[in-house]
Amino acid sequence: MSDPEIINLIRNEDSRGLSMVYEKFRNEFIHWIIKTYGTDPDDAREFYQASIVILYDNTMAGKLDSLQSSLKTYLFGIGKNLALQQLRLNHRKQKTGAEFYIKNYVLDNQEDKMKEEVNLEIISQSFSTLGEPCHELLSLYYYKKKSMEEISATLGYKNPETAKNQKYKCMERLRKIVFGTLHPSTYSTEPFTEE
Amino acid sequence: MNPNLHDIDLIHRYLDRSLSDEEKVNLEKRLKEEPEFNTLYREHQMLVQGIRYSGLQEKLNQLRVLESVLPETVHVEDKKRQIRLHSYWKPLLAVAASLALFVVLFFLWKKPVDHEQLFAQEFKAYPNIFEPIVRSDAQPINDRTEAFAAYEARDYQKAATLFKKLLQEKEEPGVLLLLGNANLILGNTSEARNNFITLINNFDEYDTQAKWYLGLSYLKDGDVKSAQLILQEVSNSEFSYASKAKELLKQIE
Repeated sequence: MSDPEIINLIRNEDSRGLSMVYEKFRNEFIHWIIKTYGTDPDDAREFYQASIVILYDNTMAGKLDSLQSSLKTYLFGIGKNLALQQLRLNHRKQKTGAEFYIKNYVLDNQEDKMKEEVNLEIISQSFSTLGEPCHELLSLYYYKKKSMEEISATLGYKNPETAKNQKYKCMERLRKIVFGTLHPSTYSTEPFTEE
Repeated sequence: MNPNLHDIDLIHRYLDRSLSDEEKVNLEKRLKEEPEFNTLYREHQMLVQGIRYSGLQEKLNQLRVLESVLPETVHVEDKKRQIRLHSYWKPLLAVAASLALFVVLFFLWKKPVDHEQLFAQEFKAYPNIFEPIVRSDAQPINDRTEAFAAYEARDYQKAATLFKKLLQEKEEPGVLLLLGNANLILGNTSEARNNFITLINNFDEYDTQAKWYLGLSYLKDGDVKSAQLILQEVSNSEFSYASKAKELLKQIE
């Protein structure tokens, strides 16, 4: 199966795509990361899993639609960035799981990551308690990057505008759950600065 | 703080990147000058990040399930061994290993290989990575979702019945692979073989996996020659099953 075909499977949420990629490059990636960066085998597997998750997210965001390199080069590129990030953070002696790299990826270029990391766990837990259709709707929009037109069709709303209004309500519900329980001092209120 | 709807709307549109250039400049100015508005923005930004993290966490868990049934990479085992072996233990361990090998060889020589036992040692049911059962009220309940849920719950009898129904409607590689696994567990080896052979003949995907399980099905029935032939093919593949197949071939011999 060619790279564009695999990318297409992933984008269409056909789970065969991601599992195919996972099994295809697993051995080579893990051997390469151990050999190149002297990583512990268990850590190498965590790097690999985080890299595949990031690859998935980038695919869903359409970043691989006009991929110039091969899928393998792209995946190994993600792995290299994670390994360098790890070296920079000097956490080599400390065991860090795939969650650590995924959090850093989600919090891209943000300062004060330690505080935000705690928040991500709290928000993620609160999000899982959110009822339907809010859980599904917000997940489709912010995680699966679906358009309001697609969401409206999937969840059976009258039109995209109705889905959009529902999204506002759902976000407010989540905001109340999260920040109703989270003390302001546990999240940063530093003035926003555009990069 | 009681945010007004207009501010919330602005923030949503900013995060969705749907503001005009002028609106964007105005909003960024407000973010610098109005602490309350800034806090509201930060809250929404964190919520979006938390939702994305929650989804990616779920994806990571699915990968971990898949990883749990894949064979260890050979290099990983070597590395672990390297870490464990301190130099002063090496001579002692070498003697112990030779002795152990002698004992094992002696018993292997005395006792024929138990293929059923080898099967049990090597077989791990392939996980449902095709349609993971996720927490959502929006997921419809039908034969399809029931089949995958039964497989995940290890109710292989129910899963097999429902998978067969699904196959009558449409032939799918994932369903064939899981049905083959369910049949293997239920002891329906010849039916399992049919599933794997159909998968190998009719689809490009999951070829190595199907061959691996096909080899195991022959082993379970004691048809060593067929098992060896198939495992030989698997051992030449580029997938992680190759090293596992090589090891198993050595044990069968």
